[in-house]
Amino acid sequence: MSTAEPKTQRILIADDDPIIRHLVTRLTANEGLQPVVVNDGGAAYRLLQTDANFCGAIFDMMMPQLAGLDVIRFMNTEKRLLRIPVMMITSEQDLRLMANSFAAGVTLFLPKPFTPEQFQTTLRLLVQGKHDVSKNRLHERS
Amino acid sequence: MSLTNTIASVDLEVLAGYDEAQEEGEPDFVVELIDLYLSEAPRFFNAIHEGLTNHDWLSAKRAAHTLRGSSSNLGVFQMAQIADELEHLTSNQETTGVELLQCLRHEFARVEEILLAERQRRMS
Repeated sequence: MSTAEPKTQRILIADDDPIIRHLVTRLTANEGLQPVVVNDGGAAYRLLQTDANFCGAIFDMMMPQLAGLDVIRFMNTEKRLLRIPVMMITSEQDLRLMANSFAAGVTLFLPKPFTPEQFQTTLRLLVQGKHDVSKNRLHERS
Repeated sequence: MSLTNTIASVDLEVLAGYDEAQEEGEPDFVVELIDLYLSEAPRFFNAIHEGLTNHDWLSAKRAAHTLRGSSSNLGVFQMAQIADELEHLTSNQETTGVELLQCLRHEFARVEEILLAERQRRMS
């Protein structure tokens, strides 16, 4: 039996909006996950350079420095990050943007505004779902 | 401008929906959200103002976008609507942007009153 595994699964949250960040952090913790929270895409990028121990990631689509999609594109270039499913939160209604996001490797989309129940359902799908994340990401890489 | 008064300033039912995220023994989560919103919204106004003043349209739109997202998620719908209009203005509509910022500040005074009353109700 491995003792190196942490007791709780860690999930990376990157959002520049303190209100949504607070909300998502609480809802994630309520699901028994350990939120690791950063306030922009640049910080997520720096963290992911040395830490891949996440069961999932939740990114805001539009962040200063580095947008959610840019972080995913970086994740696509690192084999150790390919397995991490990503939920993208956005208030954009643009279908083309959504299509591009899925093509880039976003696992699940959650449009704003969302209810706690919608968030929890999406989160459970993200961390418990049998997504073939790396296949999508590898497709994006090729 | 196509501002409408048919949208509620604050839908308290949306806010009450976050009661299900309340953990026993922890501070009232909705009160935390109210406090955060009331402290953060003026920062967004300042960012929009600064963007408009410096002709930094991208920063103004980004602040309006963030304000729209958090407002709609907390049921602060009229603010979200105005922020949406501001976000989708084009760069040659700065005068309209300034007017919409005034609308946001005016609406915020109403929102603040409603949220503080709700805060008071929850704390009593």
